[in-house]
Amino acid sequence: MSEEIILKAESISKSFGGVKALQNVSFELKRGEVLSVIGENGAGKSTLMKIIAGALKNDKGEIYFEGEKLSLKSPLDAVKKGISIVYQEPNIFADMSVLENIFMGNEVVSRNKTIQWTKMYEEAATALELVGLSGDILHLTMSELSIGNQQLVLIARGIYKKCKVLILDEPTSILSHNESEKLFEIIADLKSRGVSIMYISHRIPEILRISDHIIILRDGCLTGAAVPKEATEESIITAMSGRSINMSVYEERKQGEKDILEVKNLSYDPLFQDISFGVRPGQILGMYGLVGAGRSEIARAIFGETNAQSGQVLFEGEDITHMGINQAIEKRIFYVPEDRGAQGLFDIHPVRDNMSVSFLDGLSNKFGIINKKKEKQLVQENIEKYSIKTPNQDISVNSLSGGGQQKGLICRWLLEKPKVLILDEPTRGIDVMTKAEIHKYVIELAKEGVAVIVISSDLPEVMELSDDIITLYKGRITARFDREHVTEEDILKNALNLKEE
Amino acid sequence: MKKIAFSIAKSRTKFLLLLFVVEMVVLSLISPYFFSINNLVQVTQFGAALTLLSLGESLVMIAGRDGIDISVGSAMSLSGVLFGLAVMNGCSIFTATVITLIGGILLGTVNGLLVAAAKVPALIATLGTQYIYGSLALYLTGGIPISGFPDSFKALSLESTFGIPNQILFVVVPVTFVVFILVYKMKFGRRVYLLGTNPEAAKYTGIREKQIRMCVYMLAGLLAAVSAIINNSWLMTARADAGSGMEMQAITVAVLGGIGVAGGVGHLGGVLIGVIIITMMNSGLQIANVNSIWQLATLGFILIIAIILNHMMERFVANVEKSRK
Repeated sequence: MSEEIILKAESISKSFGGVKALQNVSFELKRGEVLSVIGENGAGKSTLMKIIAGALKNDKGEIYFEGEKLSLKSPLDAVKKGISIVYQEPNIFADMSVLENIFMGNEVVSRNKTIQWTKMYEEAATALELVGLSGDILHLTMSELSIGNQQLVLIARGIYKKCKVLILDEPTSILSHNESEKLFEIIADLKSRGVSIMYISHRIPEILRISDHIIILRDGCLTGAAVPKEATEESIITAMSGRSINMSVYEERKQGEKDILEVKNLSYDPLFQDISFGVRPGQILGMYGLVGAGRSEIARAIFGETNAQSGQVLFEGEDITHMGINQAIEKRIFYVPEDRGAQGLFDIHPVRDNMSVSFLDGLSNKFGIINKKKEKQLVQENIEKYSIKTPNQDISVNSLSGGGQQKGLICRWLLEKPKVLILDEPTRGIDVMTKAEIHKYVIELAKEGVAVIVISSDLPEVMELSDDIITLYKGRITARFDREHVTEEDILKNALNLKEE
Repeated sequence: MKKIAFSIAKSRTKFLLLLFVVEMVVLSLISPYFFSINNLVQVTQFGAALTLLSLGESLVMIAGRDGIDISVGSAMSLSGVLFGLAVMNGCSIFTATVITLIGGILLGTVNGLLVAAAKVPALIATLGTQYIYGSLALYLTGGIPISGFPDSFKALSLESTFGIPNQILFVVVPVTFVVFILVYKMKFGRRVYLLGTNPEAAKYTGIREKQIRMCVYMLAGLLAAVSAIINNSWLMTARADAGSGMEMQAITVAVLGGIGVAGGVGHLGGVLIGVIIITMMNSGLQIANVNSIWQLATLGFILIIAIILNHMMERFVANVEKSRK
């Protein structure tokens, strides 16, 4: 590792609407080193990487690449300069060949603009060798490869040209244990060739293992830098979470005797199979699993958005397996979807319309005319009760901060008291303050006797809130723990299905 | 000055009112006869059918998922023919009206079923029914206009009360009023807007998409039937081509009035002003002795200009708001 600085960022800032995603972030990357960026969900890691890779533009600050000021117009621009990124979710063209995917947007052409397939084939085979794959797979379509190999192909795409900086955005989140090990070998190999790597993750052990330097982000600010030799998991966690806000909200409470909601052998191929669990009034049940483990799909089958192919859902002893969303709502089973933009909010409409939408029937007379006074009052009560930061109810919901929007989305369902509340990623991408508040409300609801199911890929969140935790792996329940007898390791092992190893 | 510009650019209604004033001034300059109260009131009857059609069209568009109904013109023709046949076969005007209104709802229901249940893209489904309804109308009349309505039927569209054309006073105004209540006071309208803005989110809040979408198409069919009856009385004939081209005018007016093609956006108030602008223009061109072959071209011209202006204003508003921050 030389001391030459290849990439330098000076006080980078970026906001989305009113949300400050990054504030004054500076760092240096040396040639041939692995610089890890660690932080919780929503800390700004991905935003920072997208800026460096030219996919986003920073509002303030400068980036210097090999000593020169860098101003990128597009991701392609960055690739030409030698900065490549491999995103968290593989962005692939599934029905095109591996070869086409490697050269997408960058095809080798002759002078009269025809594609030079032979030349591309040779180059691609060399690139694949770098990541330990054989050239034989070049003619396969991407969808025929495993997710791990897709990831490796994308890395090959990133490095086949004169790549100087490779950004890997949470590459191991979708990889199996063995695949991760392979990736670490490749990283070491690239390093020895003088490629600098920016490695994003929130898995502390692997970061301690492979990095030369670590920078830590929290709520868009740089809160620490460390060298693996001197750092411990604890010191990094402190810098990541900065628990000055009291995140421990758990309280013992009275729980019902009998399950209010019971799921028996619920299956929907290929999304989930043989799912059985129960939840009692006043109980908080955590569901932990990776993206794609079938968590949301199970929730939607309970809520009636889809109906399972086999198995049963029992609510207060009654079979509700084949009911639709409206009947679920009537029975006071509410589901707050994970994607507040696409599945949740009506962006251009007022906060009021967004919050009252599910209970318009109760707010209207028998002719269907909305009692606007009552509506306004009810929404106002909720805004105050859950301290949603909004100047008034008439402002459009997309002018609220991310946290405000999320609170609005959840509180939409608290206009009337739920019996079962399913929260799907209730705090994704919001600030820590609001997160703590939402956690507090979840506990309060449970105290009032609501059965709450929390689906989350935020492990500390699941462990803090839940009385019981279910782990899911590829559509199956792999374990159920109670709060007293569970460790982070237990959950991860079962969610990643590493039992045998 | 900038403040005024901003306020106009931000509100569609203000912009349309401004456009209306400009139009009045221009038309008055061309012809001194144009700007007389009598003329202005009389001109409204030319816009009666269009008002109802464009209200229905707008609702279909607001409900989203690329909603559009290009069959409203043919639906108007066919229901008009239905009315004519009913009267010719001995029905009273009242019975014929009931039959026609039910017919209109049925025509809308077919569209609704195709779009909401069979998931045919709205443009294709209603293009299909446009042809089918048009053919049926021609078949039923054999291409010959139906005339011979009782003289009393004139009272609906050819006579005035207090100087206001009857069809405006007794049909268009009350129907518009009811539609506004339905859309802006009732949960139905709220749901139409929310559904149009984000169908996926609407699903998770328990909004029944199929039901709402069926309803907007049925409403569009019903309004087409009402406009057919007005039109029959106005011409005292039922023609198989009475509504031809009306669907495009209705879409034009809706877009001019600020209804977003993507759904969830726009206010019916803007659509009403849009109808007045288009109707005034058509009549103004006639008074000014402009050859009527230029009517359509002017319509197209106004539509394109309005959309370009709209984009410019949106950018202007965005810039001002950004600089304020």
